[in-house]
Amino acid sequence: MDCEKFESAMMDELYGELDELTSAAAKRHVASCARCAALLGGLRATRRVAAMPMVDPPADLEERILAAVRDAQKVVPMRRRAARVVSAAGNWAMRPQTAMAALFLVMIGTSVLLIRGKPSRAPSAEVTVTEQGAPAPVAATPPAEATATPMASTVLLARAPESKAASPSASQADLPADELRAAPAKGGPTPSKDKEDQQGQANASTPGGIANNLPPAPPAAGGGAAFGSQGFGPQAPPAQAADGTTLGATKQQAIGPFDTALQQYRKGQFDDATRAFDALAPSDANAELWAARSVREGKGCRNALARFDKVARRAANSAPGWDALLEGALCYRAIGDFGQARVRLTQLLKIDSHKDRAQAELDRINQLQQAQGQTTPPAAAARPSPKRAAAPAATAAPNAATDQAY
Amino acid sequence: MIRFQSGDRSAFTLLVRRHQGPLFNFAFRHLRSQPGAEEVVQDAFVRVVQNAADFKHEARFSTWLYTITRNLCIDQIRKRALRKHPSLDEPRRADEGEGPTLGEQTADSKANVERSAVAGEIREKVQAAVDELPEDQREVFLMREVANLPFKEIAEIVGVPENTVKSRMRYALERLQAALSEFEEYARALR
Repeated sequence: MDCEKFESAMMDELYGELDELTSAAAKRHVASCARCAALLGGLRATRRVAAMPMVDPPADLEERILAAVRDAQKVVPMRRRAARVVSAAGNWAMRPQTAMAALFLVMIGTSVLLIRGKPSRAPSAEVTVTEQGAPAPVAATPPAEATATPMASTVLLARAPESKAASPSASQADLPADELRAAPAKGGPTPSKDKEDQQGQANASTPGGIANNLPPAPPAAGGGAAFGSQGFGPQAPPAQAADGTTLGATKQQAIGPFDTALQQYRKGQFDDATRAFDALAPSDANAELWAARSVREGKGCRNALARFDKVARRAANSAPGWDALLEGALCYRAIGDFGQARVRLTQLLKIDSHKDRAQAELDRINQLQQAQGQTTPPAAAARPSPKRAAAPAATAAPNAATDQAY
Repeated sequence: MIRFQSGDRSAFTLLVRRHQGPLFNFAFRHLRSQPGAEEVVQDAFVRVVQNAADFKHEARFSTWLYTITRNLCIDQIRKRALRKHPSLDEPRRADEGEGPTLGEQTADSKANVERSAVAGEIREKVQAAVDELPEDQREVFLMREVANLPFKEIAEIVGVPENTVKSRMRYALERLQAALSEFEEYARALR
């Protein structure tokens, strides 16, 4: 160890903080170096002289310290109190239940924001209500169409009669309703009917005119009397009213007096319907036919016979007249006047559109007369029709209830 | 301290008994006032209790305790600087009237008369010399000589490198050596 190193270690040597090895080296250096020995000796002597005696603390200092500590522990500083509150709140907030609740709140809030952020749906006015008061059968349409744009969904309403025909309300329809449903089927659309269809689609469609690009509504299955199929102008409204959705689409524009009367008829308000149809009867043979039907439904066949005969005379050689003949015959059969019934049905055997039905009714009258022991069926009625065997059961089946009634 | 942190209140009494003497002497020499020293020691232990949870045993307990005491002493010195600066001849308390001076308190009553006279003179000189030391040297000197703290611990308390502490200590001793040179022969005779 040299003098420089000794001086750096001198204070440690003076206070005994050197390890044994270094201390021994320092001692050897001091033994051989007078200067360093004098330096160290002088500091040691100063320490010895400057040694400061220890003063005993007051006897009661300990007691006072402990008392002060007890007092301090009673009073919790505001800062420490706040720290305790924060710590307790932190522990509470970090519980799993609190974390889950916060997560749920975030999820619900996000969902609400996303839902409210979406554009509003199509106006409810375009989802029209049918004349029966039931919602339009949008669900019955194909899914791809059901999820189309609002304009397309409006058009779908005009195409709904196929599914509507299978609805429970349609199955409950009476004879006129059945005939009305079958009306556009057999004869195909007339020019006026085409016009009505196009108008209906145009009414139901949006200004974009998408409906004009779609095919017309397909005809309903099954045969029967062809109301409105012979170009009879006023027959179109009831034929259109038969498919409720088309009527619903039309109702968006305006409901005419004929439609109003027809609605009363369908609601069973036959007296009101009779008055309404009668009001239209002077200019509309079809309305007069419906007035006769309303009387039949409201007051019975016996009161309606004269009306049916009147229509048959007025609209002879036209669809309303043939229908009046048929329904008058059914009324005569219902009251037991088979002779009058045969006369009218025999007239209808010449009409292509009504001859199958007339023949079927004549056969039924024959059966009823045979069952009652009566004879003398007319030769014309006894002659079997070549088409009768091929008549579809589906044609007779919907009218079974009507046959029992009349 | 570990026992006290675990809730053993009796351990705190042991801490007080073990450290109050050196702590009081350090504060007493530092402040040159017994009431001030008592107040500082009392406050130091109160702070120990209040902040016991914050003590992580990263340093020795004595280091922490002397750090608190040193800061309290500095605060009191600053406060006192705003008032009247006390002297060694000042009574302990103004309202106590006559009382022992610091020189009288530090006198060794067991020595014989002649030696006591020399010792008394030396102590007064020593005290005066220590008081004349710069503040940074004086606090290192007191910690080393009165509290008997190692240099490493003093460095932690003061917040300076250990070599700086040793340098300050050497300068302090050299100053005292110069001030007490007339008693050096006496000191060598005491060996």
